[in-house]
Amino acid sequence: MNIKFWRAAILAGIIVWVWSGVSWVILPWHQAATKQFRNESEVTQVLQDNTTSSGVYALPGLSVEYGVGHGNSQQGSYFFGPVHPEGRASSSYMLYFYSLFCSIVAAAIICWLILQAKGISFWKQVQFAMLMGLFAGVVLCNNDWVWAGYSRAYVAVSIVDLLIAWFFGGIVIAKNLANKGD
Amino acid sequence: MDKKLFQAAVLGGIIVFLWGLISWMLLPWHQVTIKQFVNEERVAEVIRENALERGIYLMPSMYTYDNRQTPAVAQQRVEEGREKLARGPVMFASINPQGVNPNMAGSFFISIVINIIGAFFITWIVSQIKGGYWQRVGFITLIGFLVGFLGLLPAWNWWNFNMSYVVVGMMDLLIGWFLAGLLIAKIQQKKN
Repeated sequence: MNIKFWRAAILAGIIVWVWSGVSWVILPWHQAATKQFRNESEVTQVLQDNTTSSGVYALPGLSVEYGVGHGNSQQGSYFFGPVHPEGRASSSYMLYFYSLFCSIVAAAIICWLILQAKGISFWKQVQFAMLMGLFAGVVLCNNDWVWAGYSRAYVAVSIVDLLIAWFFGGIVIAKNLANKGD
Repeated sequence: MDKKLFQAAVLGGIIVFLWGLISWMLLPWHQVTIKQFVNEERVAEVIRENALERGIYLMPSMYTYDNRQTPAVAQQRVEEGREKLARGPVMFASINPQGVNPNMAGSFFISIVINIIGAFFITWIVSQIKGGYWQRVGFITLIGFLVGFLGLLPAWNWWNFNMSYVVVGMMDLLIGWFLAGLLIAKIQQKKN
């Protein structure tokens, strides 16, 4: 692990993090893939009354006798996701820090894997990074779309987002890992 | 198409799928990270009444896209949303007011196909890396674990998925892709 490696990992992590900021804050596509309740106050009240603590909730519940759930779906509503009845701080620098940290760790893993594939060209390194982003998107698609019931629009935007992020990340990695003559 | 690559992808994808079944249906670890509402009937009813269609719902809905609102209205919604965030509840959920189909055959099939596609990518990536059997197994496991940093930890950070849920999810990825790696590396070794 040398300076070149860490420079590539840190810069690629920063680029991926900046892209996710652009993607979530400036572009409307993630927001367009989310929906709003008709009467938020009513849902708020019911969630406050029916949650005991913070956590991921499922409806129908994943009790042992139902195994993976779906057992009581005749109720006609499906819900899966985290609920925090006590709320949370609206803005925290730690959120941004953790996000950046995850991006840098992911970039470091990708850099290390690229280094194991010795002698591959600049664009093949970019392709490598993009494929790892795409692989993550595919695996998450299985978890989120097939099993957690996320909408197609939301999952599709997330996959494209990962692909673009690691296209930029891949360029930075390839540029910084390049040897003279590449 | 390289026959060995295809064979490794199919078998690797099936192994990850089978591990997923064991992990979700036989082991209790996923269930213990997921909570149940006190009164499910009441929650189901309020969702039916207030969620018009299937999708991801956020609460407070301060960032939900609405192309009819002016910048001033959008700003006001964000201010109100900040107060609601502090007061709670805060929620990110996949919701379907029509419920889900209890017949999971279609989901099983799609899941197998998606896992095979994932295994195809991972097999191709690892085929570009030079290394022995255990090194390849390690690479595949590491790439599987990478998904945790790209998907599960961000979900914990931004959408408040609890850490126990994320840790179990990451262990799941680690074990699933380690098992697939054992086979994919074996097939790649035969090829070489």
